Parts: sequence; structure tokens; C-alpha cells
Amino acid sequence: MRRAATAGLVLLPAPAAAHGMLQGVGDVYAGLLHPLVVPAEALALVAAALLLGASGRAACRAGLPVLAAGLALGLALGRFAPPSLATPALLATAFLAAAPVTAGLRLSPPLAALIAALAGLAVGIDAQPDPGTLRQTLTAAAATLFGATAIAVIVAALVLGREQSWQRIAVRVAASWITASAILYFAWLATSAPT
Amino acid sequence: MTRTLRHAILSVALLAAGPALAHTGAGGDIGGFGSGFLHPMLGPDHVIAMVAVGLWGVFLGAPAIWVLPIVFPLVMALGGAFGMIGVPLPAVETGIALSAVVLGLCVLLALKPPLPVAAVIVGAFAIFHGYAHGTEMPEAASAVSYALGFVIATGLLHLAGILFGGLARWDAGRIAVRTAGGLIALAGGAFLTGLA
Repeated sequence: MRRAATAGLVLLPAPAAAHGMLQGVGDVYAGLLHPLVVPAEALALVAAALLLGASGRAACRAGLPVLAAGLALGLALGRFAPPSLATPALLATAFLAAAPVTAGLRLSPPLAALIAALAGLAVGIDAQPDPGTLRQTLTAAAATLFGATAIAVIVAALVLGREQSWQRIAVRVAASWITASAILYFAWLATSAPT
Repeated sequence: MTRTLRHAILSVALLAAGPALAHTGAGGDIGGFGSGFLHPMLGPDHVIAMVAVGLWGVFLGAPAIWVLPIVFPLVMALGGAFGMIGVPLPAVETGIALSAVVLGLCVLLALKPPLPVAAVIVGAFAIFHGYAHGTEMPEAASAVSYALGFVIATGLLHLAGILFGGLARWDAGRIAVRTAGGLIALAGGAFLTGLA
């Protein structure tokens, strides 16, 4: 127990930059793991998947492909977007997706798909691969596209397949955590903006 | 304070701080998550009040058992936002200690008010807890990671209360849960009067 606690404490303060954390793991793993190790990306992806799953099978059918398309577009065009907008965009889409789930609302498939597409776009823009050769960049981008889509599909499928009442509650609790985190982030952003 | 405890606190302070890198508000800042996660955990007044929310939810039954843990982080986030923005809120520490007293008494007495009343009571105290978290947010921490860390820690403390409250399905367990509520109220009283 004591060893586990010590190990946990030692592991907590890992380096702060996602790209720094993923250095040396290769382009495939760097791209694959990027959406998992950047909290804002993970929040946006999970929130979008929660929304699609909670909105039903039709929303998943429409939303998951457009989320992947948004990701691809963001990865392709992300270098032209201002970097300072990436995290606010991620948290805004996370809030847009999580708030209806927290409130127990079931969105129409087109609306849920639109929010999922925006989340995918924001994740793609933020998950730009490090500069390198064309092959390295394409490999990392493809891995990010695969990894992020896989996360969204898995979470949406889990939510879609919920049958027990505790599973429905867990989905809303998770969404409330994401909503609360987004509210706090924007409060922080409002107070830390340059004057 | 024992030597071991001093070492433990020093270790937490050193390890949880994390590096201050340029990506404030972005990036995979596990240090920010650790700071946020540990913030409610290291405050005993926060811990007992959060556990009391879970315990009370069990006594109130469905839908309160899941409505309260959903309402709490949302209102707490608003309180955190007030704290960061600098909205003046008097007697924050008193409000936090009072939350333990009131919520502990609700568990001890197995009070069952209507859900809106319970939600208003819990929500009102959530403002104080969120405010404290918001004002004490370290400047170097990643905002996303810190927020996520302390929201998840709060949720897990609620869950701990709900799980312990599950004992209430048995008569002896019910006594244990109500006793825990009494102890929480006593501890809150100690914080309120400055004894702890």
C-alpha cells in the first residue's frame, strides 16, 4: 500500500507538454496517444462520444463518421489556425456536448452530429504532429485520426449499450464532470486574459 | 507531528507541484491534474463534507442519490468561477465548516426533505467549496487539468459516501451510517469553532 502510494506520488508530476511526454515513442504511438495524454482533447472527444451515445443509434451513425471527418480536416488545416484558440475551442465543444447529456437531453441526430464534427475539428487542430518529414507527419496524423476515432467509437458504444440505471447515472455524472471542468476553464481564461 | 507525516507532506508538496511550463491551460499537465486532485483530498473539511453529500444521497434515495452528485460539481464550478473572478464571498471557511455540520446532521437525523430543498442546501454549500478551490488554484497549473482533477476527486469522495451509505440497507449498517453523520457534524463543529 505504502509502495503504491509512493509510486503514485512519483508518477503524478510528469512533464507538462504532451509532445515532450511522447518523445521517443515513435510517430505511430505519438499520434495514437496524443488525444489521450492531452486532457482538453480527451475531454472534447469523450464529451462528443457521450453525446452521440446518449442521443441514440441514429446520432451515432451520423455523428461518428463526421467526427472522423472533422478530425481529418483539423489535422490537415490545423497549421493555419491560431494556436491560442485550440484549447478554448476544445473546451467549448466539450461543454456544448456534455451540457445536454448532464441535463438528460437527447439531441436530434443532425445537431448531435454537428457538435461531434466541431469536436473532431477542434481535436484535429490541437493534435498537430511535430514538424518532420512528410512521411513522419502523415504517419502521426493517421495514428491520431485512428486513435481519436477509436476512443469516440468505444465510448459511444458503451453509452449506447447502457441498460442498467447505474450506467445511465454514470454517463450523466461523467458529463457533469466535463461540464464543470469547462466552466472552470473559462472562468480561468476570463481572469488570465491579458489586459 | 510525526517524522513520517512530515516527510509525507513534504513529498506531496514537492511532487505534486509539477514544472511551470509555457503551456498553461493546455497540454498534458499531469502535475496540474495532481494538484487539482489532491486539493480536496488534503482538506479534511472538504473531505468530510463531500462524503456527507454521498451519505445523505443514500438516505434520500432515488433520484437524489444521483441528482446531488450531478448538481454539486456544477454549482461548485460556479463557485470556483466566482473565486477566480474575485466575486466577494464572505466567511468561506465558515461556510465550508458549516456544510459539514449541516450535512452531517442531515445524515445523523436521516432527514428527508423534498429533493429541491436538498438540492438547494447542497448547492448552497457547493458554492463555498468551489470558491475555495478557485481562489487557491496555483497559477502555474494547467487550468484544464487542475479543474478536471478537483472535479473528479470531489466526485470520488461523493462515491465513497454513497458506497459507505450502502451499508444502510441493514439495520446495523444504518446505525453505522448515521453515526458517521454524527461524527462528520462533530468534526465540522470542531472546524467551525477553531478546535481543529
